[in-house]
Amino acid sequence: MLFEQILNGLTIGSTYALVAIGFTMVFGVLELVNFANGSIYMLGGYLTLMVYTTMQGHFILAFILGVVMTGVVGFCLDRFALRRLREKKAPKLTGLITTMGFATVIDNVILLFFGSQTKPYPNLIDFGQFQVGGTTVNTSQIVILAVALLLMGVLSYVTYKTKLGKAMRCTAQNADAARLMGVNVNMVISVTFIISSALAAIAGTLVGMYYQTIDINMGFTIGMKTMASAVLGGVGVLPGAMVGGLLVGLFETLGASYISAGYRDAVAFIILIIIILVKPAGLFGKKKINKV
Amino acid sequence: MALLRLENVVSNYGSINALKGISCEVNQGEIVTLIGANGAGKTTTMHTITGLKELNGGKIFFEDQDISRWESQKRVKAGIVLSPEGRQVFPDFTVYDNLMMGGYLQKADTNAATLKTVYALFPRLEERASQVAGTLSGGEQQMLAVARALMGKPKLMLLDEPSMGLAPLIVKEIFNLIQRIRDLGTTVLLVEQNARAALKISDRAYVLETGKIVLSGSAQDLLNSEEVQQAYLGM
Repeated sequence: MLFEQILNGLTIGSTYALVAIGFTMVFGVLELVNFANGSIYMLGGYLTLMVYTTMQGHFILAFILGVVMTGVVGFCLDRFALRRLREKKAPKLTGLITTMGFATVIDNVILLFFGSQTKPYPNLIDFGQFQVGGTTVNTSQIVILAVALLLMGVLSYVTYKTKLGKAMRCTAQNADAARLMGVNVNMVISVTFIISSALAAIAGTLVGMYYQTIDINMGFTIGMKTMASAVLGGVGVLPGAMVGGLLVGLFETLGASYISAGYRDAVAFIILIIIILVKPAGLFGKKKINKV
Repeated sequence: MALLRLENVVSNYGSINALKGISCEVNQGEIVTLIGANGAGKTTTMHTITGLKELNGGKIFFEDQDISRWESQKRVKAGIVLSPEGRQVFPDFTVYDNLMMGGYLQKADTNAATLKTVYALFPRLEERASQVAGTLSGGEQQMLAVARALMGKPKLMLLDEPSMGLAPLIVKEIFNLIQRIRDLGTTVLLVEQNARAALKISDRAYVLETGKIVLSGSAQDLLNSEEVQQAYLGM
């Protein structure tokens, strides 16, 4: 029972981690809280479903197309809204409100096209279940964990080993100095939005398949939970978002099964409150030293 | 032919005129200094040359090309590299990674070659290659900022207040290095509050006052000018 719950928690937590990584990357380069991240996650789930239904049977292709389309939406959010604000030197708060507005637009467009009812989602990654030492393991859990871990590995490699990743980290540390090195900061920001949206779309699709349903409210909850994950790990720190996401998923699953199922969604917020009170920089965050 | 030419450059922060029509030029192989008090527009001038600050009027030419509307990275590629005021090294990166970011637009083998030259100029940075830049002393960070700019293989190196906040001995070292950098073939435009030290190593200089150039000439003439002596050399 406990092991099953741990596995459940890690599975759902790994999807939180994917969304939280995108959230934390955007925060890292722009110091912007992207409130649209949750809606983009939901959009990704719907887009994959839409492509899948229109072109019957080609799941992998539908998945890729859905993720790419969501990436383009993320790119547009930056290119046509946020970049203009940066060029006009608008205050950071304006960008934050813009992402909220963008979230509202996405939510309502989805509502318009798909309606407000919960929709069934085909689970194409379920190949049955098996027993490991008395614990029932679902193959979709294995697939989700594997995809999430693989993506985390790829992202860590890109961020820490490639030239693009170094440009991203420089932009995060000091955007003007990065510009002086010849880094195309706007390009770096665009790529960050594309990666972050694509990750959200992958997570949205995986979760849709895992629960076999999708509805328009799934974006809001995940937005809050990934924010909690990122804060838990330390906002702007990549490993922080990974560990934070896994822990939030784990805690809420354990909380739901051992305290009360009604507390599931509350757990993330309880973690958020505790972290802000006890260790505001998060588990992996650095304390900012202000040098005079 | 002037390597860099500013024609009536105007730059505003909102309704405040920071630069009110500046014209000046830097020739190949020179060290040119811009001196002026706080708020005269020295850093703004540097930022308009690098493209960090947009132009509100006038034109900037580099190697006779109008670069006024170019993006920063295009100017870096063309050979204009700034070592910014306050060092602005990447604090979380090692010294080596900082230097490699300086060579961001260069090829890997070019960087390997430039790194040798840079280490020869700054032996201390080689010793500290794997140290995180945020933990360096102020003087070392300044050296790193200059070295990082050199990694971009500049034709024109802009140095914004390289002596700021440093001990006199280190200031002397920095000014020696600037001369050596010029001798290696890089043209230098220097912004300094430490006017005397800057003028001593410069060929020519401009004096900036509230966004206008009020005086220009050979560094030697300015050193001897009564106006400059009173206002900037404290004599």
